Amino acid sequence: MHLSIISEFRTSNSEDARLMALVQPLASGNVMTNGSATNCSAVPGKAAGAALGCDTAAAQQLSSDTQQAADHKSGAAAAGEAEEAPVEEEVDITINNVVCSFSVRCHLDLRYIAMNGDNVEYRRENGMVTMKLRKPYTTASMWSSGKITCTGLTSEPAAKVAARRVARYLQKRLNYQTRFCNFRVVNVLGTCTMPFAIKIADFSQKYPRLACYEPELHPGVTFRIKEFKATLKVFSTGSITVTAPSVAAVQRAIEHIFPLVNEFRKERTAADLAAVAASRARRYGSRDSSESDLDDDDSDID
Amino acid sequence: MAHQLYRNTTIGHCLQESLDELMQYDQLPPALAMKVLLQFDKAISAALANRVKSRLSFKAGKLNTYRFCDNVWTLLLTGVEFKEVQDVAKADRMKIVAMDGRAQV
Repeated sequence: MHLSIISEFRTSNSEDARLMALVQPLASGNVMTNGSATNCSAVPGKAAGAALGCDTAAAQQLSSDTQQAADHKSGAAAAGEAEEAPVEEEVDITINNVVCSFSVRCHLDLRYIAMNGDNVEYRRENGMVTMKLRKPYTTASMWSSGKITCTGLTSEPAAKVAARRVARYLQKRLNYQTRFCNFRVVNVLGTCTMPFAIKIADFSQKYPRLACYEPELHPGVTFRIKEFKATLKVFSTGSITVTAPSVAAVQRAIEHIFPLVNEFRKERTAADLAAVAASRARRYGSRDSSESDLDDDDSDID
Repeated sequence: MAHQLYRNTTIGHCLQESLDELMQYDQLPPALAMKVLLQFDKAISAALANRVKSRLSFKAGKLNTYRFCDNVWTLLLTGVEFKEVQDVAKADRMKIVAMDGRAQV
């Protein structure tokens, strides 16, 4: 139920799909997601601002849901949440890349597409035609078997739209008898930044089987969550990147790892804060939801 | 072995027409005409690479479509402005066919 409410925020008019995982580390170490209208107003970034502007109805729904949630939960926990308001952190999850795959169920003559299609590249050494769409911005790779992969999208509904657009282009302009089949989102890449730095050496030592930390190879800890089939890379600056099979899995993975990482929090120095602020300004200023966040990570290796 | 890209130019067409005329009057065997065209391909590539000094830059309003197949780039642009020191020319629509200068046929 909580996820569906949060999804209303996600599918608003912002180009960068942003999720907000509202995370509460309770004393018992369990993580619960909770929606709170007051918290949302503190979220930075113009995308979230647009969400707030458009979705006041959703915000009201969210606060009422908090009341219901507080009522439904067991008495002690609800009392704890409502009254003492423990450390309630909110992290913005940015979905950077959604990869989807589908089939048009007919053989594609790649040479014909390359000669007669628009915005296509055909390199024989790869054996596939690459077509780029402007809106939603995506790169579609087509094979002669009729299988097509779309990459570079920022949300799951956009992936569906892009896939259908590609199939429609083949049908209309190139006169193929296409059938839209087997659409599935294969991979989702999300990034988020914790409001604190992380002591990754100690963190990786606590979870030796789940975490893999080779500082000579890569500056981040590779943490795998088998349950969500997610792979997280945890960096000492507090940035975390997640790859998982769906957007919901990305969200759950972040929620799962938050208390684990919270245990090893390390408050940021003034230099770290300045670096984070600079990367934020770069990201929101240039309207570019690509890997600017990851640029920070190599600069701070403990 | 230069590519035969430049045969589809004003000068290339003039050459081909002249050769066809000579062949029509049996003054030139077809094999020789072929050799002339091949020599033309080499000569024009060398001339453009080495003997042309003027620089022209252009800027387009929009790249409508692009295509890359068989190592040939085809670009369709609109709202193109050519500049050579003073503003020289404008074109509503422009098609660029480009091949790799270093590659062989």
